[in-house]
Amino acid sequence: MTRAPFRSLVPHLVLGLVFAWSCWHVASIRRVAVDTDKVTLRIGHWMLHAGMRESFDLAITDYQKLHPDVSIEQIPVPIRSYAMWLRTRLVGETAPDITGLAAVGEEIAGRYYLPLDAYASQPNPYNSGTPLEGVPWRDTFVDGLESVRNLLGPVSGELYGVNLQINTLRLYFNRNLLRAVTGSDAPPVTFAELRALGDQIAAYNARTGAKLVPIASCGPYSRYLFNTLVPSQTQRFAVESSPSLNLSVSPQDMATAFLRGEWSYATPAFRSGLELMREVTSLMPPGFSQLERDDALFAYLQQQAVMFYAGSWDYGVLVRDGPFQTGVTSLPLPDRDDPKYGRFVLGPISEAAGSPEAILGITRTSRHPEVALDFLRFLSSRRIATTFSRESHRISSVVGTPPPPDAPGLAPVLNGEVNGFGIDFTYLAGGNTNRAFQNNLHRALGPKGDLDDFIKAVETTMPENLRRDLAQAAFGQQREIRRLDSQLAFALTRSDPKPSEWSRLAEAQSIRQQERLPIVQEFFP
Amino acid sequence: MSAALKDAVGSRRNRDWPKHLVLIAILCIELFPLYMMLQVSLKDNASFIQNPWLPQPPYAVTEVRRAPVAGQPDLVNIRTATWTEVMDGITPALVPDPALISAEKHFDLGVYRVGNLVKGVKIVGPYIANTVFVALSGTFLSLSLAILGAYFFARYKMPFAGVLWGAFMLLMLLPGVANIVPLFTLLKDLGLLNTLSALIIVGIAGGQVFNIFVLRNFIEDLPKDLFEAAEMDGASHLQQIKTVVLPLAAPIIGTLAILAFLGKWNDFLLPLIVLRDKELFTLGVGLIYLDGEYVKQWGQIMAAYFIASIPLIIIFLFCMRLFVRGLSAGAVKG
Amino acid sequence: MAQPLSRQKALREWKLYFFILPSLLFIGVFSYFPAGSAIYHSFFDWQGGDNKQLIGFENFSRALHDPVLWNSFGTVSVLIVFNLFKMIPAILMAVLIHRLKSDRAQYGYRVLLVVPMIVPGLVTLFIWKFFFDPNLGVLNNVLDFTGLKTMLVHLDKFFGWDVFFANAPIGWLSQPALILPSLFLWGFPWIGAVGVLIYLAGLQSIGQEVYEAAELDGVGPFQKFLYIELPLILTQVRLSLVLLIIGTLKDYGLQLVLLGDTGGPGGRGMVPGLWMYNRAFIAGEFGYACAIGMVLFLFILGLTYLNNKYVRVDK
Repeated sequence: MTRAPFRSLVPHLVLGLVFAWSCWHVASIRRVAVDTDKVTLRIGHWMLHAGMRESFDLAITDYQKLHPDVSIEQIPVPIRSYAMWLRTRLVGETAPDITGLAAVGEEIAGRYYLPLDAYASQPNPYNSGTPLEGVPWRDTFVDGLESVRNLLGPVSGELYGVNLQINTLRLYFNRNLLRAVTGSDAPPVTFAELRALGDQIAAYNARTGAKLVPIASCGPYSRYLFNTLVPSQTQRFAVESSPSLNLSVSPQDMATAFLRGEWSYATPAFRSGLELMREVTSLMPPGFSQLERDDALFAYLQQQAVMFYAGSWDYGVLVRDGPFQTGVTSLPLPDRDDPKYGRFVLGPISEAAGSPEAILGITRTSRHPEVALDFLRFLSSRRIATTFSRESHRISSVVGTPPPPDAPGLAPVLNGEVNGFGIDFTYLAGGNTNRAFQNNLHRALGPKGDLDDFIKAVETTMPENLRRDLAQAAFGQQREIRRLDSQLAFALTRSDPKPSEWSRLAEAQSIRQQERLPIVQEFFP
Repeated sequence: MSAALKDAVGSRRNRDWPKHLVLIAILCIELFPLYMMLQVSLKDNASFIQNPWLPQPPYAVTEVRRAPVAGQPDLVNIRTATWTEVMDGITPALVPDPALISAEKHFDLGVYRVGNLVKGVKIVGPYIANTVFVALSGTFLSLSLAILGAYFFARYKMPFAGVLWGAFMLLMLLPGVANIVPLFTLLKDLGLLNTLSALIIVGIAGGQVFNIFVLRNFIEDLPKDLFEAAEMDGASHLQQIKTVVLPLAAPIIGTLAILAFLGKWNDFLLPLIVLRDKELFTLGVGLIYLDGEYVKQWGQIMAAYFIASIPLIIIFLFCMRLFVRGLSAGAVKG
Repeated sequence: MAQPLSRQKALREWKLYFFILPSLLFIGVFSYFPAGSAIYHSFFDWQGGDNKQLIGFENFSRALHDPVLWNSFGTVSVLIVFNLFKMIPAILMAVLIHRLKSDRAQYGYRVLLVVPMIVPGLVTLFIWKFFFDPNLGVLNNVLDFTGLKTMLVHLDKFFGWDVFFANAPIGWLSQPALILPSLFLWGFPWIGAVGVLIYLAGLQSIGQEVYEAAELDGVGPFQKFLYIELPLILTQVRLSLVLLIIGTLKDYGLQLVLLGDTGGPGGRGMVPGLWMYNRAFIAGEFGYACAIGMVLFLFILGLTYLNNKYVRVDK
């Protein structure tokens, strides 16, 4: 008889115990958060890749030794959720003190982040004892923080973050496989040599029954590849035909030219770019555009592919997980002597403009902006940058930092010509034209590819897509103008308005209006 | 159902084994994910790629390679062995590696990366604690308030009860689809962002309508004499609930509690948007963030998933009878 | 029915109103207020912060011309059809268990069923994501092993689908054309323990005489199912149906986790709820997201009205 009540007591007991444990746990979180009279700094970022988290940990330990009253916490967020995470935290005002800036435009940067201009001209105290002592903070970076300025503050010219690293794109190759196919492990240098290597690999496959793929690729990385190859064909065109006469073509310039009918994909430089794309895809696995980065990585690591075009950020993984030696080289581009593509080329390109990586900024809602600034300075000091470079196999943006010891080839090549521009409208607001390009790309590529088929398919919907995108661009510009209105009003209604503050804003607003009005007048009267 | 009835229900051939076969086949497919989780959690990436399906044999292979730079000591690499290597011995690779000097296989229990499970507990443990807290308190509060509310509607026809009931029922029809956007702003204005209380409170608000609806129907069907007898004895309303409603409604309350608990346990949309601090993460968000790394360490991830699955299994094995009985009772009520 | 009571008694029982007050507060603040706020903000250009700009019906006209939104409705309709189909295995499973002779076996299967279902939904989702993985996943390995992959490649050449290639792994979640089939396959064998247990409970109410009569008439097992068992669980089926349709319309958690916040490659997995989430929390267009929510709400309201009018649920 007494068994029955005991039996029903046990689950309740278990539940009670489990609940008590969870309450204790939650209470202990609270205690930890409230107890400390230290300054707590939080830094949120998406850089979960090999070595980055560990480098941050090392830097944090070092900093906490120097400043025992500060405790710093890393909040790593997977990149897939990063955009949502950042947006909700910023809007909800619960953002960490320092966050990585990814997929962020000027509007968000200006609204939620502290401008760092004033501090950029002061020297970095953590560089004392190095050759960078006394150098203004801005100049301790390889590109003078211009890349960040262009990215986050193109109109107002404000600086909203600093980039700790820069990226380059490189062609990685499997030394063992290359030696097995060609007898030597020297990589191809020009596009013609790359094409020849493709033929050699096909011959090897036929001879041995292997199924090697020349270049492992996937959707996103193939876009990188195309956008490195194609500009070699628009180099000359950009210099000769730039509408704003500044050696480059902006997405808006290109959109308006296409809409007016001045340019089209039949223009020789553009068509040659498409031809080049088609030719290089014969070196990639079938169905590559449907694959993801992990698939391409897997194929390369499993020695199914001889080469892999990827970013300098991937090098750490290749070294860690690859049971063979990986060599590093730049993507072979057509040179001036190339019979088919040479006439559009100016020369090898410079990577000085580089692409910034690990951009960190200070949020306006931070309770300890001075401490945050100090930590940023610490992270971008020469000593810590060397640690990052060594541990994460990535290239630091701090001047004079030695590149990762085992891969000097990752460092950017600074000498060269101005680069051309892509022809897929990636950077045009609204994304409709780009989407149409990508969705129809399969017609042009691969062994059954037909360029004319592709061009016809894209150009049927192009006018409408371009219109929609330009309308979106105009809408965005109008929002910016409105925002600058309020900023200007604030600056001008202060008791002592400094021309240095508001003239820049007024100029920015004029630029935006100049960009917007022609579009609206010509295409949306 | 009695055995005699079973004889009548069965087909003319009166055989059960085809049914057993089908059921067992389906169950194997159902239990397959659990098997995969367990066996992968003991591997690291390299051995997983070598051997995805079967558990790892307790053998390792020591490989010695020449260093790439002359004069350096040889590189020693210990990797896990595959079943074919255990059975048949080591075979040379398709693409010869000129640097390989020797490869030997040996028995090694260290191939089982128990560290994955330990790490999994360390990572997922706090998430489980938070989720248990949110789910249990939310369920308890939700049902307590629902019982009170249902009692209000079921006991007497109080003035304005019709209006209030309409307010609740309207919510049943309104799908709160767009709610999450202004809810976020509301929580921010109340200062509840990045707290567990927000999850509990919103969870309670969400479940009230359904719970009150079901409980009201049930309480109304209870015989009035029980209530009146208790009232005669001088019981207050709360005491009436305690003595009359609770014992009789136990199965249905149990069912509602389980449904509410499961709902809160599995929720990840709201925590994803609301929570910032890692320490506060519930299970849903924690698992999503685990999924983030570029090159996934499958062993660690599967270990974390496995550990995340265990608490519910344990709780339900304990409360199994309650669960099954409650569901059946609730189902018959329609 | 609740007891009617006189005025005096009602006044004496005023404390009873406190019983309903907390619940009222909760739903008032956390359900009604956000709903009203959503309607209000759908007329604004609102980025979630303090400033918003009244733009009237511009959000709604944009929604009406938004191809992504209407495609997402198409996708969600297909998903509803899939989910309707996926109800069947649970019913069949319940019938199978119900017809077993041994009581202990029945109980045993009940327990064994529940155990895998108790795995948290999110873990199941991730396990399935792993199953779909092109290189390491179970699905591709099974297809390779059984030779079904070669068959698919041949069919592909014949029909010209362009998704199955001989020497490349099948990208279940990275090819636009395969997204819907993947969403269909997900959750195989599509048995939900809660559903099975509920149907089982319903089946248990079938009386002995019915079966004996059927046996005497020489009715076969399949006809027993059609004429005896199915009609009696029809009420539960109908209820699940309604909840299923409305639930599928609203839900986007599955797509968010499996495919990411843009609905996967080519946006083929985009459903209305996900588009709303995307606009609000990724693009920061909170006002437009509210408008999308309103459109979805009207849709569901319409369906609920039709359901209440034309589908009678027998008690």
